[in-house]
Amino acid sequence: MKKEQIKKADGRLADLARETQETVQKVLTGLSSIRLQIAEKKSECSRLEHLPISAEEAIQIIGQRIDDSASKFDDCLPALIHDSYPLIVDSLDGMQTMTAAFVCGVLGPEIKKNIATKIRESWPKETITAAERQTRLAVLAAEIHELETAEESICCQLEEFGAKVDRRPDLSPEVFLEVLEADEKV
Amino acid sequence: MAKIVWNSKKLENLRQRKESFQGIINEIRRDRENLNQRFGAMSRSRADMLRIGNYKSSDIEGVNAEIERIEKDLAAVQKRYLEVSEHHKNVIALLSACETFLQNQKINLDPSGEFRGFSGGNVKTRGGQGS
Repeated sequence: MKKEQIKKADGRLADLARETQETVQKVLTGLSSIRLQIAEKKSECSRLEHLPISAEEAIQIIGQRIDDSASKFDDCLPALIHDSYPLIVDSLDGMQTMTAAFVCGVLGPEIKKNIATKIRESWPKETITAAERQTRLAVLAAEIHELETAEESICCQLEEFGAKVDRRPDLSPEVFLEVLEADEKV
Repeated sequence: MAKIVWNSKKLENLRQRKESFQGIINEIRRDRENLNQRFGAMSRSRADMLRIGNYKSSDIEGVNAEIERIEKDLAAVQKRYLEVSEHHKNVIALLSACETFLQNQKINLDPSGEFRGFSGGNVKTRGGQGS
C-alpha cells in the first residue's frame, strides 16, 4: 500500500515537473516572440527615420529658402547704385548675404523651376511626408511600449519563480522602472 | 509638475546584478590568470626537458597532456568570460539608461546611486523607498 502511494506521488511529481517545464518553455517562447516583434518594430522605426521626405516637400522647402533670400533683395537695391555694392564689401558674411539675395531676387523663379525639375527626375522613389513619418513613428512607439510592458511583465513573473532573466539593454527605462505619473501632489 | 512613481526595488536589483556579474568576471579573471601561470610553468618545464634532453618519453607525454588540458580550460574560461561580459555590458547599459532617466526627472541620486529625494518635481518611489 505504502509503495503504491509512493509510486503515485512520484508519478504526480514527475507530471508536475513536466508541466512546469512545459509552462516555462511556453513562457520563454512567448518572451522570444515578443522580443522579436520589438526588434522588428524598432527596425521599422529606424527605416522610417531615414526615409527621405517626399519630392514635393523638398521642392517646397528649397523654394521657401529661395523666397526668403529673395525677400532681402529690396534691401540690396540702394547698394547697387553706389560703390557700397557687395562686390567691394570685405565682409564675407555681408557679401554672401547680398549675393544670395541678388541672385534669388533676380532669378528666383528660374532657379526654383530648375531645382524642381532636377528633384522630380532624381529623387528616391520611396519617400515619406514629415506628417506621415511623425504619425507612423508615434504609432510604432505606442506598439513598442505595449510590447515592452508585456515583456517586462513576463520577466517579472519568471523572477517571481526564482529565474534570473536578462533584460534587453535597450529596454525603455520607463517600462523597466514601471514609471507612472500620478495626479495627486506630494 | 506631475508626480512620478517608480519601482526603486528593481533599480536596486539591477545594481546588485551588475555587482554580481562584476564578481563573476573578477573570479574568471583570477582563474584565467592561474591557468596562464600554469600554462607558462608547464611550457617552461617542457622546454627545459627538451633542452637538457634527459627525460623519459612518458614524462614529456604527461607534460604535453597537461598543456593540452590547460589550453582546453583556458578556451572554456575565455568563452565564459565573453558570455558573462556580454551580460554585464547589457546590465550596465540598462542601468545607465535608468539613472539618466531618473536624473532627467530631477530625481537626485547620490554618488553611490542611492535615492536621495527629489528636486524640481514631485517624486515618489515604489518598492521600499519614498520621498
